[in-house]
Amino acid sequence: MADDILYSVRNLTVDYKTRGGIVHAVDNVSLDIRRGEILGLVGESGCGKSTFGKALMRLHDGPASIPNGELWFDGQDLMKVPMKDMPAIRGADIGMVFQDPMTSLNPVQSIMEHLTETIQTHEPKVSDAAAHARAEDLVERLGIRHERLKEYPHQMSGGMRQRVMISLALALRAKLVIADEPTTSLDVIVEAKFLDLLKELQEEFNLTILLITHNIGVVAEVCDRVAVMYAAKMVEVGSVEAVFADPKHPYTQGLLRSVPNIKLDEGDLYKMGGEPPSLLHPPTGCRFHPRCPKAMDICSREEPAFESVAGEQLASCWLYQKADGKQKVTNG
Amino acid sequence: MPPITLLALIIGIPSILLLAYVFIRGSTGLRRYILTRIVLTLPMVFILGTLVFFILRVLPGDPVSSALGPKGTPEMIASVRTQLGLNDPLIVQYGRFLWQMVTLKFGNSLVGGHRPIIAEMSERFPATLELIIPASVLALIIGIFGGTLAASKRKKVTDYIFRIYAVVIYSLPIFWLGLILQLFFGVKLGWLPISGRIDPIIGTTLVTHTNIYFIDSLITGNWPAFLSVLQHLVLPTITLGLIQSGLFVRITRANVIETMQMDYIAAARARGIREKVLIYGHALKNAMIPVITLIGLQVAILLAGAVLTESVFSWPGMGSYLVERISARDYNAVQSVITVFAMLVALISLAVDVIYSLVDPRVRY
Amino acid sequence: MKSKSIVVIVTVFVLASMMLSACASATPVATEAPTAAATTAAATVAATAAPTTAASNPDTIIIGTTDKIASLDPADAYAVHDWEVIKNISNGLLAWKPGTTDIEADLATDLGTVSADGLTYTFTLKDGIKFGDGTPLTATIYAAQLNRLLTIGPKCPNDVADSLAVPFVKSITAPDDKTIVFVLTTPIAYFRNLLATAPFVAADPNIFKADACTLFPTAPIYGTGPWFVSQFNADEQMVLEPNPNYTGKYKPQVKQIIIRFYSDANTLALAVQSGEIDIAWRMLSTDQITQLTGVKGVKIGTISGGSIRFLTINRTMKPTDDPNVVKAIASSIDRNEIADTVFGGKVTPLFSMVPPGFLGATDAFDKMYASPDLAAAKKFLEASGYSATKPVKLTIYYPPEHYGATTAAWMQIIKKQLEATGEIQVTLQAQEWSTYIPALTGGKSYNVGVMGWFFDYPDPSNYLDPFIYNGGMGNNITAAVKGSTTGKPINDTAKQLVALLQKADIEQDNTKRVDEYAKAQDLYADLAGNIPLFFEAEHVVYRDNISGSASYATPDTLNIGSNIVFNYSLLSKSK
Repeated sequence: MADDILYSVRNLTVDYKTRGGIVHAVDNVSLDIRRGEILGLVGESGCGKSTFGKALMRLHDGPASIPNGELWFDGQDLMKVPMKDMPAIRGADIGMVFQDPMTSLNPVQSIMEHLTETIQTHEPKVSDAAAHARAEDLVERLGIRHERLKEYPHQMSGGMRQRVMISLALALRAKLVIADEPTTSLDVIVEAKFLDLLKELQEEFNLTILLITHNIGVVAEVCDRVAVMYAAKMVEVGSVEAVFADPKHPYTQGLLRSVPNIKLDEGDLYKMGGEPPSLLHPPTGCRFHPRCPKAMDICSREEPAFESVAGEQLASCWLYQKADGKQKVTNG
Repeated sequence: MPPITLLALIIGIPSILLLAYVFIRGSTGLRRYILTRIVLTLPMVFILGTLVFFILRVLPGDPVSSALGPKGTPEMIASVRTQLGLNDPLIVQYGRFLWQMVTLKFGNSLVGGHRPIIAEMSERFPATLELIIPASVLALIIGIFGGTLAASKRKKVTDYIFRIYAVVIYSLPIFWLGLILQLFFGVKLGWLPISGRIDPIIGTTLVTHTNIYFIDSLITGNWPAFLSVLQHLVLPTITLGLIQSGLFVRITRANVIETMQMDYIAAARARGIREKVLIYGHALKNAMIPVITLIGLQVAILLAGAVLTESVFSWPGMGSYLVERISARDYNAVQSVITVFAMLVALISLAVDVIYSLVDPRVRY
Repeated sequence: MKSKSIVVIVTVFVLASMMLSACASATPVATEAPTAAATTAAATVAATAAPTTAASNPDTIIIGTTDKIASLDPADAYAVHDWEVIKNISNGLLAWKPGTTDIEADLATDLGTVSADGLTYTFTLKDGIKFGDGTPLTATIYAAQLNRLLTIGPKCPNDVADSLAVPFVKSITAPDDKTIVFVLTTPIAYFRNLLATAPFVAADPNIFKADACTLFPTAPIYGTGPWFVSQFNADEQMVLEPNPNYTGKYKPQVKQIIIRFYSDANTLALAVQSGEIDIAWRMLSTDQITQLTGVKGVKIGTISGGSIRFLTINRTMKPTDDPNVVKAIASSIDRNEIADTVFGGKVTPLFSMVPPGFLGATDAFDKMYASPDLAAAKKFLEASGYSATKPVKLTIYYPPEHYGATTAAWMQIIKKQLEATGEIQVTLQAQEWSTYIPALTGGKSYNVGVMGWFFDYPDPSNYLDPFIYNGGMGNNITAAVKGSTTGKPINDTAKQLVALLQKADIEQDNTKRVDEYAKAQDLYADLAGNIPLFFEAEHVVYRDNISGSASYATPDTLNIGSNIVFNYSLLSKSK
């Protein structure tokens, strides 16, 4: 594995047990996250992007399980780490920022307690005083006055809380921060400030960030690369410039066309036809084919490979590849 | 110290200390809230007392004919009633009762030894405290830890065991459980005493100060008495505690499970916080908020449970006192006990609110 | 940390409660220094340390009871158990011999002399009698204390004096330091029996003042009896220790008696079974006695006691003002069925208000009605025009708890027996005691009710007079008249009965009295203002290392006889 890859996900599948049967919420997905980049992961609600983010920390529980896949983080396959040792990695090496800052902080813990608890959980030898000092230092750098540390979550605004969430992710100098829809619940101005902050931090700490979002605009603003998920599958990955300039997968194309653009008055917004498929009974072949304007005969029969279509731009679409005889036989 | 004010003070001083603490440390809003609550409690106690006063007198039967039984001739009954002031016009009796409430001088009981009610209560009340405090502690320990354990092992054997336990124990009649424990540990095995608060012989050596025998034996260094008190506490405490624990197991379990699904628990887990800390630190603390409310509400039920437990174990507490005096139509005693209970429940619910505000930083008054 | 604040608050709360209640030490629980005996006892127990060894201490006997002390003032107390305690710490001029209803001299040198008109009784006091606190008892002090009975009136809420002293005694005087003279209002025949009751004991003048009723004196409570109360906690226990100044013949055999108060009879039964107490005395139900029968280490003494149960029938209220209806009821009752099905034979059917074993008791009701005799019952009913289509409608009232939890069961049987005539329709109505008893004895509200009676003094007059004189406690055989001892009889039979009873009351010759009471019981059965049902034995349950005295009657019942006097001095305990 190349040294510039921090996290390499190979053939990851995440299953959910439901009443209707087993659902592959993430289905055989591979993705590399490079050191120091901000990688945007986009897709519609329910496409499996959040499940994917959680799976990177093996945070699945209850009905969810990972039947196969490799999670190479910094040269180590996390799937081979015993579950009881995972908490040591969570928070320390990989941090996570959740979607709703209003509900992601413990209402009966002060901000200081959140921070010191996180620090001391991973570094038990740190004294209370040292932990306090680190917490103060950390939040000051995130633009929160340290006096506010004694406050409780409900006393803070949404943006402030999301900064706290970031500070929690950074408290142990995590190499990778997974931010799951961090700005969804923030208003536009706060969102912009927060994204600026995220970028600053990324530069300052040389952070690697996986930014999970459904907002293409956010991706355009802060991300280096973008990955697009559809119905539990990765459909396209590439640099933001490349993908935005020339989206290869019809789904990506549709996604980009459906984004409102203030500068260009292109009349009515594009609306993608159809509904996202049920993951309990996903369509055969390419999962996008029922909605795809360019669907071909083969699309409904065989699943395309996820491979390079232009340099480092990968896509999973029959438009760019040839059917492989063996598959034809199997599915035909 | 004159005994009349003692009981009021037993209840009053701790609340004053609690309030003082909160006043010094608490916010302006909390202070105003407490003041409002106290001011509102007074008419509540007054209304309740008045209701009890009139209900007692509407009920058929009276203390004198009840005590004298068939041997009381109408003349005897009439003269004793006059002597006790029961032949005074109702309005005069009511005025006297109000004055007793205001001055906290509860007068004498109308049956038995006709002793001052304050003296009777100062014997009975500590006995009930000695029973319900350890029983509540036991109920809470079992409830909170059992409920949390069940929640953490959700849908596993431990969980089912605790869920069955909660349902079964909640539906057991107290007297039945008490009887089974008495038969097994008292009569069959002979390990534990089945009645009373202390061994009769050792009891003669106990010098009382508080009438809470646990404390009295401790402060006088009377170790045989202390041991005996502990032995006598075991079965009643288990009986009352177990019965109370069922509800706490269920509520705690439900709340912990609900809390464990909260985003902040997922977030904390993503920060590497261990499961044990998540459950016993984060989830339990949040889940305790509704449980604390329940503790406040349980006080009345606890007192009701104490009535039966006291009867089964011949434990001379407030519960059995109230029952005895209601059936003897001891107006003065019943009025006084209800008034004291009302103040007690009001005080505890105020304390619960205050504690609530300390546990949950979101609560502001 | 907020959790610390909670800890602080809880601690403050608990500590404050403790400190505060610590100031409450003025309460009268066992506050005086422990006595030597108690300390030794505790030391012994501490050494052996097993929890249920209290009862194995050979110096202490623990008696459990469900009775509560209501009053210890002899001029006030009117409950069986109160009397028992009073009679153990005090004594009077006369007493009953243990286990019998025979009178013997106690504080008096002999049974005293009575004037020819039967109105003046003179007694001489023994020498050297002292109260437990050292005060010598002189006739002057004794007479002054007895005069409290005549003067204290309703200051005493249980008001025994107005029942047992004021109606009979005109004056009590002490002409000299050794002599006490009673002058009676009427020459009653059973006056010596009265003198043996608790109200006439010598009450300590330092405790019981002339103008005040002292229901619960502060321990130590002394009298002239073999014991004194060294500790008294009203709802928990009473401790009795030997009176150092006692000179009588009933010297305590053990160093300490503890009376333990129980709120639940079931717990009392378990306590004697587990050996936590030595004796369970009053009031175990027949069920509990059955349970304890045959239990290892436990003995049961059955005392054919004086507690009777009967129906009270209002003879001036329709339809029970009709003699035929009353006689039909009396003819329908099957007492054996009640005794066997409800009590497993542990009660005795009763055929007169005077129970067997008491002077002049007969089987008057059996003789007259030979019940159950349904044919006779029907005949009576039909004589008054009742039939199956036009039955007598009766409501029978009863208190659900006061006479034991089985009351409802035997009331059902009575209903069934009456309805077996086909011409009586019964509705049963339970009514709580405090409502029930004034309504029943008031004689205005209930047709038929159930009642129990326990004598004050073991004399037939105490089983008849109260149910005939002045309203007869609700049967209205006489109408109560203010100032009259007897009231106004409703008919000729009642008039004859009243005259006969008045004669018997003052009859000094016992043979004549027996005759008169036999006639009175026949008249009574005819009037049937009450229908006797059964009389309940008392049970004393005790550990097998406890024994009564073989020198006196009925050691198997710990020398408790039909007069239900329990003399603690006769008790002994082996290891």
